[in-house]
Amino acid sequence: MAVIAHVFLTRLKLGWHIQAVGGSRRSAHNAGISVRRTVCLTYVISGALTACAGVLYAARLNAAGSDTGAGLEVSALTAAVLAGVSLGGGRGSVVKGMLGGVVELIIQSSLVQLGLRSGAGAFVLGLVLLAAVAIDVRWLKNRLKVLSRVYVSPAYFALPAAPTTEPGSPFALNERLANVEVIGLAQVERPEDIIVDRNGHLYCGNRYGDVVRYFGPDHKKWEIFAHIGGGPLGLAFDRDDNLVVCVSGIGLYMVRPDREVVKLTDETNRSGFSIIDDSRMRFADDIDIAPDGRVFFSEATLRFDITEWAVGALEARGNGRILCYDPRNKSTRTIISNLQFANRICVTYDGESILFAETWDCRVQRYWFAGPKAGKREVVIDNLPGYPDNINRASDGNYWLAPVGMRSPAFDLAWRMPDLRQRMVNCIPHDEWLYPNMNTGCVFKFGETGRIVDCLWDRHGTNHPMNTSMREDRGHLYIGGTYSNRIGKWRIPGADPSWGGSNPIWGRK
Amino acid sequence: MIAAVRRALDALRGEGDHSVTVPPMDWALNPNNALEEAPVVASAEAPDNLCLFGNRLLFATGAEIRAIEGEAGPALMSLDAAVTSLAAEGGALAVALASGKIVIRGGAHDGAEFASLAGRPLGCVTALAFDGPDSLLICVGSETHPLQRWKHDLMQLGCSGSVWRADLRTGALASLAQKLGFPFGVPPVRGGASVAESWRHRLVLLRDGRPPEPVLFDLPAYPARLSRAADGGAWLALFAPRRQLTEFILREPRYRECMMAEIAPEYWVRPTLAPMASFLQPFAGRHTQEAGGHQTLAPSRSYGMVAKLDAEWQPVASFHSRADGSRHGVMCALERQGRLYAASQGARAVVAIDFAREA
Repeated sequence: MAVIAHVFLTRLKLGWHIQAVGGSRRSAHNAGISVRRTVCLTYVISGALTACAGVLYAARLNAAGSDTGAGLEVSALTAAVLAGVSLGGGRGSVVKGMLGGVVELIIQSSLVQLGLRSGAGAFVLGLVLLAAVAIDVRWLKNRLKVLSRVYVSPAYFALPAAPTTEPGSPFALNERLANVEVIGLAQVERPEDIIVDRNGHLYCGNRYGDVVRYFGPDHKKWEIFAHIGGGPLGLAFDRDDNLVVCVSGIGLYMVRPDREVVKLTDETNRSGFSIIDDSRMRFADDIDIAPDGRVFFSEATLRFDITEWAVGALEARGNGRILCYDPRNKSTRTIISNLQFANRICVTYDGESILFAETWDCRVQRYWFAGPKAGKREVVIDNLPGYPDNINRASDGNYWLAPVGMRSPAFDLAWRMPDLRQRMVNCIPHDEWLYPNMNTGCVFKFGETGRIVDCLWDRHGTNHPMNTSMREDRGHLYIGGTYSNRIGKWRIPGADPSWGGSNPIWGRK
Repeated sequence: MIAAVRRALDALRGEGDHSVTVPPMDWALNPNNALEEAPVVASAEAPDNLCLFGNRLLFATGAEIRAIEGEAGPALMSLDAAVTSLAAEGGALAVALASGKIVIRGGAHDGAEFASLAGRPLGCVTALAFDGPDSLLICVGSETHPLQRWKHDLMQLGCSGSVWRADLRTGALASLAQKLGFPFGVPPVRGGASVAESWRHRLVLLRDGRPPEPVLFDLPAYPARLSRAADGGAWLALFAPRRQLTEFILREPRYRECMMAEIAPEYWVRPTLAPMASFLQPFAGRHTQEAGGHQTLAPSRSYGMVAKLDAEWQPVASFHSRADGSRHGVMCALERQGRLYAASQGARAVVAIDFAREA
């Protein structure tokens, strides 16, 4: 009976409806559940179950009377409350109910054993009921507070000292990014990634869940190209000029040239030993498309949403992953997991591997998905002075890399002290936490071997206090930032003015 | 006994001295932009120690003493070490030097020198004040560190400051108070001195033979030098804000030790005198520039603030330069002819506020 009830409540449609209506009538109504019908059915089921119980009780007593079982409702109520089953509905399970019943039986038997006078037993039971309700209310009220206190769980993480940015080093500071042409100043909010199509139009996401299009070649006029919702992050064009978008909070989407929004995937395979269900995508981040049409994309972290993405740095735990969506059979698989903020992805020129950035690990790795080295992984750049974000191809065969922020010795030291970070998270408010520095705009260029070839800085952060992306197109570098209100356009000295327009590894110029 | 029990309870519950909360800037300390918008009257590398010498307003920068009016002109006086504090009375000028000396120039005691205070070093004289022509009040911030290492003193929870009275005729020294948490000050009051205890975020009155009497406490920033106002009150410069992150680090001995051993002082988690200049400096969550600008409410490590205190030492008005500004690190403010001069180390400038109009 209990097993049937359990399956009914947790696996069947009507059970889900009952839980949903109990949790919130309005939400259930908005979700299309017939609230009246469900409530009516609950009474029917409840009555039927009571009838069954009555029959069993009468069989046990060998007599049926109209007043048999009077007063049992208090016991039933106590059992339910003791089990942590919400009287309002929507919270509870069959197993909890059974445990509550057992506890209640033990209490009642103990009261009988104590030999309390008639009436006193019911009184004690009532007191237990009141206490349980009081605890339940307090717990419900403060549950989120307790959860938020214990949610961030820092781990030990040590990096070697960061490389210097003094003159003479490959990361030497300069002001080369200070003079950029600005696109969409105060029109665009949070252009996290940008892409230019073959006609020279520029696309970026914004914080309202839109994909915005700036018309080329001057990028002054703009329109909302499509609305997806969520937080549109990484962008890529496929062979048919569909714009594939990673949307944090939702999954992987595609916008056709006629603006139709199509969901590609929001689910991957559940990993074998995970206690929580990690099949849903929480934070799809960046994307690139291989020559065979497979879509490689990253999920930055399984534990935080986009509004608190940087809190992951305080944990320093690897829970990001790289996923692959295959449009041929519409399947999604996790190919690499346990990465520290798996951020940006870029298919290399040979079309056989991807480069991906691990932001809080301060490194870039390469993964071969095809060719003789398929399945192998290799660290390309280690111990960067900043937290790598976007990686994109450059016209000269190298790769651009935008660090979202720079490392500071004080934060590196805190990484070695998980207990300190735990106390900090508990003691002081979010705004004051020691954080990775994110007010420095800079773009590196590196070769396939990981050698740093070039470095551009905007030290004073007038236009680019923080870069999360850059894209080279027709001799210019377009720069976006997650907290920015503009897109920068920088002429690359000596760059090929004919190179660009979506994906050059497909042989398209 | 009760105090000890209370301290033990506070430690258990994380309250009182054991809490990392910081008092808000409200009422008279409500933030504004008066300091940020004030006109510059002099520029220098590290202006500090404003001092009225006859009709002239002097300030010290490094090893030089200059006059406000002669901004571009040569130094009035060059010394052999950095000036840590300055006081004037009549024609006499008392100058404390980072090399550990106090010298008197001009006046009846011209040429007098102190090289130590009862055997203690003099490298950290935070303030000097004449109490009449023959008596000099000397405020020593720390016995263990010279003035430019004040951050080391803060991070080691220093409380080795002291205040002395020197008789310039006989050279006799009398101690007014010991074991203060980095005192600044130090205008004389009847029978003693008023002192800002920086590491304890409070103002105390020191009177001969009596324990320090706190008159203003729980300040939201680290107080620095005090000067008298024309209306009987005082001007208090506050050189850096208290932040919960700093308060937290001050309660974390292991982190502090590692930080001091491994990291250069400019990159420590600590209050600073100038706005953030390098990405190697620590960063708090709210610092992130959004939509192209800094946020005024960011928990910056530096801040600019001068408070006007009434005759009872309570704040009645204040002038600020907030997290998005640059007039930070004001160690000294002085009133002259209805204008308030403030020396900001963060902006490397002396600014003047027409305070009657601002208020």
